[in-house]
Amino acid sequence: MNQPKKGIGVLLDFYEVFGRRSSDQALCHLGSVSAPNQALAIVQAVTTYDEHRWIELCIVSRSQMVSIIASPGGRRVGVV
Amino acid sequence: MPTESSGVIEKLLVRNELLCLADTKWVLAHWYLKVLPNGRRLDDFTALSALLQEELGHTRALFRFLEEGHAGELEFDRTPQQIHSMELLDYPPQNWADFVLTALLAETATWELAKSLQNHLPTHLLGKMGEEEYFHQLALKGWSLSFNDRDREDLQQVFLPRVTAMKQWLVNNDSDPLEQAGLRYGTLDEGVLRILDYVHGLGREAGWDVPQLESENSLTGGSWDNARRRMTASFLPAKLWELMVPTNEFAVLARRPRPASDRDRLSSQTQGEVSN
Repeated sequence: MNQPKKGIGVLLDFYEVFGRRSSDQALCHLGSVSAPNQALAIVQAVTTYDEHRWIELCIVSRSQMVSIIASPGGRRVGVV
Repeated sequence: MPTESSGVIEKLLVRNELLCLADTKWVLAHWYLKVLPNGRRLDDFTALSALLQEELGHTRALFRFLEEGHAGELEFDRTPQQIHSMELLDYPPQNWADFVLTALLAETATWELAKSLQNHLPTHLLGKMGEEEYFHQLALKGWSLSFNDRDREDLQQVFLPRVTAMKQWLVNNDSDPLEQAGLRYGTLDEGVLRILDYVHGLGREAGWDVPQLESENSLTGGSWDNARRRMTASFLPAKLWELMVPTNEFAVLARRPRPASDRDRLSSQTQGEVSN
């Protein structure tokens, strides 16, 4: 489920991470991070997915995603 | 008309300032190294590791830029008495909130100093530092916003002494010799104001109950060493220095011989130098 999970005294939200390496490439799903706030989610995305020199990198809060076809049981696999 | 001697003095003034910047980043990197196991979640370890390696990267790039003799002299050939680091970082953090606040103050103060020296730094080096600095400040902001009640209580105890130490590092003189010589971009007084505004705004957002910050200078008594931006005769605590350049028998045994290190330079800089 997409409910926030509890870390040490803080609620964590999930964010999906997307990146593009060149202008002719599609924006690809890289994986996901969990963080208590957006600032830390950005830092975690940048430090975790730092294997390439991205020309575009962005995160989307799962709570903001509009589900069209829900995955079985409502679960999402974070990393592809 | 500048004379040859005034040129030498100006070069020395700038070099000392850049050493203050490099040495403070060097110590800050070791703060991150020491605090790493205290991260509250696995993701904190990743972020702290990134902050640590980037601060060390800035330090080494600045060292290479400043070294006049052989590579490595600023890292290995100095004593604690010759280090130009910020005194704020001499005192270890008492708790997580103290760590986050002190690192935030050190990061913002070093960035203000770096920006004020932009006419004396290679453009790409300052650009790279700025790009990474943005994420360092964002990480520290994120940790500040996730403080719990205990963290906010802890913060009250350390807030004023830490902020005062940061202000003293940037502005501890009635006059700034670099500003007077036209070598400074902007003023450090403006830099202090920007930091205080930022910390104040962050405090409001994070719900800190801390004292109102004063913008006027709070000069310390005693003699101030302008070249090192520290109190005269003060130097790095022995334990902190040992963490940075270990001198124990096993560390010395494990260290690669200096000639070998100089020869093959395990660095991204192929010539070991930074150029414009």
